[in-house]
Order: sequence, then structure tokens, then C-alpha cells
Amino acid sequence: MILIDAKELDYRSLNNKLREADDDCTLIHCCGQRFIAAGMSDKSITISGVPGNALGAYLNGASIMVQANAQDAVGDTMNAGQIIVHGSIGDAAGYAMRGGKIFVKGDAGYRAGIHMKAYQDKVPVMVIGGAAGSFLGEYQAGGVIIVLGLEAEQKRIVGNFPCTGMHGGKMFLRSDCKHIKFPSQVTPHPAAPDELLEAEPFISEFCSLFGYDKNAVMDAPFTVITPDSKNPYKQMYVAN
Amino acid sequence: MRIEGQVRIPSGCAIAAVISRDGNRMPGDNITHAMEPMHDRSNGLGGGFAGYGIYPAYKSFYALHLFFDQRSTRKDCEAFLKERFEIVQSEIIPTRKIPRITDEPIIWRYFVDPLKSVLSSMQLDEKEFVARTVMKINAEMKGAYVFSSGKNMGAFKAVGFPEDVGMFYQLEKYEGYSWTAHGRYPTNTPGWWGGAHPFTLLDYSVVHNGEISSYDANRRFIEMFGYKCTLQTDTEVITYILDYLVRVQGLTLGEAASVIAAPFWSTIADKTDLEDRKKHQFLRTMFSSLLITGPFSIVFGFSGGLMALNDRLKLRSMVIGEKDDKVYIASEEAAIRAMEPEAENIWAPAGGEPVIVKVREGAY
Repeated sequence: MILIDAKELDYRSLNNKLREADDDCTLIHCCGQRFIAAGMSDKSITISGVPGNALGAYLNGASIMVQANAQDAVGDTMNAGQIIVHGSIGDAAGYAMRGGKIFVKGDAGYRAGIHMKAYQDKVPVMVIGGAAGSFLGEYQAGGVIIVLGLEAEQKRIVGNFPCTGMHGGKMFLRSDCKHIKFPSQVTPHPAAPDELLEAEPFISEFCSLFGYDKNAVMDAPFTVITPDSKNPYKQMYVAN
Repeated sequence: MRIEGQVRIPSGCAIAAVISRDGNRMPGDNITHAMEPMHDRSNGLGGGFAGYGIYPAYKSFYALHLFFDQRSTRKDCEAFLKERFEIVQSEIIPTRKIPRITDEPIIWRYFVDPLKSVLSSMQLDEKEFVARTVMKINAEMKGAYVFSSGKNMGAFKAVGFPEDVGMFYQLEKYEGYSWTAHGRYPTNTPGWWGGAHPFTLLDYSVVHNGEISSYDANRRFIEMFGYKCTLQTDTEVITYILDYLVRVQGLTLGEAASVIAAPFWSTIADKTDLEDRKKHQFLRTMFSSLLITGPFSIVFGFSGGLMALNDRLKLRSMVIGEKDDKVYIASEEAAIRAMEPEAENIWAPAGGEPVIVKVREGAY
């Protein structure tokens, strides 16, 4: 394990140090440096302090663990690996992500999972333990987004306009979603037991990471949302 | 030299602010440090600060901060000011020569009191008179710009990175109960001294991260009421809109926020509180030309408080934190941690949700 003190380091020299390291790394005193571990494929990185925007952008197999909050665009365009955040995250997490996993114990800001996609065996997964902001899964094209709403009794599990432009992938919300308005091109419905099987391994992983009782978490109504058409743009063209 | 496009400049403006709810005054170097972790959000073409409570010895006078292109402009402008105000103090704003700030204009400040005879002959209240004078100088006096005009507050701005601008103006020598800060990355308009944030009028100031799509619609509307947009950038119009809504029309800050970052009609229609629904319908209908579209996160400063606000789609980041009597606002949590490593209750307000923090009555 290599210890790196991020104090006084800009994002470029910090990332150089990470790349040069031939072992797993622990970063301390991190304060806003961007692009940490961008594109990395082989290390495990533990961060104390607040990492800057685009944490783990283009991540390609490395594993990142953040002990505090993370800022905007966590896992931007990530391809493989995992990012675990023990606090909350900012806006646009998992932007255009096409593989790997993001686990967040707290809340997510606006536009989590915007334009997540999937390709063959690449299926990205994002699990948010708290509540998500508006435009969750905006333009979602693939992958799985799970929001658990734990410890968020006072808050709505998701803000306004979830699934706007969604045309692929799947979303699980641990709620009956009675007061949530979805757009017309998606079909929210109560998750059947066999549908929940798909989300269960990821929820298990989340619970063991953050110390929750899986059975208690699963013992709640879930809503599953998928797009209802193979051609969501159909309504935008003149039928002839 | 490689230009943008050949080289990626990862920028996007930065804002930060701090206020003491107990009115405790803080030197300006802490807010300057807040801008350091956000350095890459700016590109060196503008930085600035506003401090409130910084001129206690002159608190009953309007503090006019001006840029002049040359000495003769200053002389002409002073002659003009003398026709309208009693000038109780006139001085150069002290600056520190540093290599990273160059080409500075002549930077001067005046503490003034409007002449009662002029006020009564023009039949204007004091604030309206000062606002009109500021507009007149900025629009008609070539080479002179008033960039700050409130009581017991002041804006300090320049072309440069904000950390350097704070150093240039020696902000550690001022103490304010609230501060706002801005690092600029100009997208559509020139990076010049007058175009740096904050944009101010009277004691109102705005720092803004974003880009207003509705700028010209807003400008044409607000110019009907005597405001003149002369500073070649979009943020200026936000200051005038808020001055119009809050000072002239008498709206509350919350109502003004509902005008400029109005909820969608569908969101209004879904409101279960009928009074609230009616109020929002009224505000959107009455002030439809003052809806600001496009991405923004702003901090609006005024005597005794701050208001933070995001555009309704929340296309820019903004987080809030607190510690003891202080509330912190910034584009990034890292900036809050730079001011107060132990800040608590970090949260991000929703799009269009104003966060209003006021100093305890009587404490400023």
C-alpha cells in the first residue's frame, strides 16, 4: 500500500503519482482534484477528503473507495471497475457509463445515470442508497439503476422528471412510487419476485459494503421501470 | 501557441460565498483561499469578490468604486459627481503589484452622500437617484465604469485568476460579515475588467456560474425601466432584474426566485397547495419576460444576507454547508472544505430552490 498526500498537488501531478505507483494507493488530504484515477485499469485506490469532479472518468477496471462525499460526474464514461462512495455524490454521476459498478451510500444529485448504456456483456450498474435528484436516468439507454431510499423517509425517493428520454435499460426504485410522475414512454409497475431477482445480487453487494441487513432492505415494495417501446422516437415522426 | 480546441481547457466558472449569521466579521483572505481548489474552473480572464460590512466607518455613505481608463476621465467624472453628491472621501483603492495582474485601469473609490437639493428637484428617492447616476455614468461616460455602489459594501474585480485578484486588492485587510467570490471563464464575451463578476447595483451583487440563453429577451424588457446593460456580459442583467423585482416591485426574495427560476407549468399544476399554485401562476404570468433560462448558479448578495439559487433544471452545481454561525456556499464542496475543513450538513439545493441566509437582525 502506497500513501500519497494530495495536499498541494494539482490533478495532473496527483494522477502521475497514482500511475507511477506499483501497488494499491491511499490518498489523504484530497481537496477537489479532478479526474482522479481516470482511465485506470489495475489498482485499488482509497481516498480520504473530497475528490474533485469526474472521479474515475473512463475508469477501466480499477477500484475506488471514497470515505467522504464525491462531487459531480463520478464515473463519467466509465467502462469497467467499481466506485464506492460512503457519502453522497453530486450531479450527473455515471454519465454515459457503459460498464462497471457505482455504489453510493448517501444521496445522488441531479441526472444520476444520464445516458447510461450497455453493449453485449457490458452492463453498468449504479446503486444509490439514499434518494436521487431530478432527471434520474435521463436518456438512459442501457444498464441498471437502483435507488433504495434508505434513511430518506422525509424525502421523496426521486425528484421530478425521472426517466425523461429513457429508451433502454432498467430502473428499480424501492418505493410504490405513488406520487411520482413518469413520462409516457416508460412503464412503471410493481416489481414481480422474478424481476427483483435481477436487482438482488447488486443490492446484496450494496448491503455488505455498507453494513445493511439485506432481508430488511428487500422487504419493501419495489417499482421497476423500463421503456415501453423498441422505437421511442416513433411519436416524433409523421406516420406514413 | 495552441488554442482552445487543440488543447482542452477544463473550465466552467466558480462561485463561493460565506456569511456569518451572527454578523461576525471575517477578513477577505479566507474566501480567497476557497477559490484555490477550484482554480481549473476559471481561465484567468476574470475574478472578483464582494464584501459586506467592510466600511463601518463610512456606513451611512454610498461607496462608489470606479474604473477609469485615464486621468482626464477621472477628472471629468469627479466634476460630474460633485454636481450630484457631497464627496466625503475620495481615494485610490489600494492594490498590491503582482506579476499575474497587469494592465489595470485607474481604480478609485468615493464615499458620497446625494445632495438633498438635487434629490428634491428630481423628485427621486435616494436609492433610485444613485441607481440612475450609476446607469448614466456607465452608459454615457466613455472610459468610466462604476462597479460598486452600495453602502457599507464593496466589489473588487479584475482580469486574472480569483486567488490573484484577492491578493491584488489586499482583501485580507477588509473584514466583512459576508463575502461572495467568482472565478471567470468567459464563453461568449470579452474578458475585461468591467466584465468580471460580481455585478452590482446599490447594495445588490451577483456572482454567476453559467450562461443565460434568455439574455436578450431579459435585457429588452428590463431596459424599459431605465436599466442599461453596458458591461458586455449576461450576468449584469440578473443584477438589474433582482433590483427591479426586489427594490422597485417589492417582491420577497423567494418570490423573485420564483420569477427568474420559475417552476415548469406542469410542476405548478401539480401543486396541492392552492394558494401556492395561484401565486406561482400569477408570478409567471406577470413577469414572464423575466424568466431566466439556460444554466445558472448564482449567489445574490444584499445588506444583511445572501441568496443562493440554481436554474430550474439545475444545469450547474452548487453545494451548501455550515459550521457554527457560518453558512458556506460554493460550486464545489472542496471550496467549502478549503474555508472550513469541518463544515457540516453539506447538501445541494434543488433547481429553482432559493436558499436565503440572513444575518441576525441588529447584528450588522
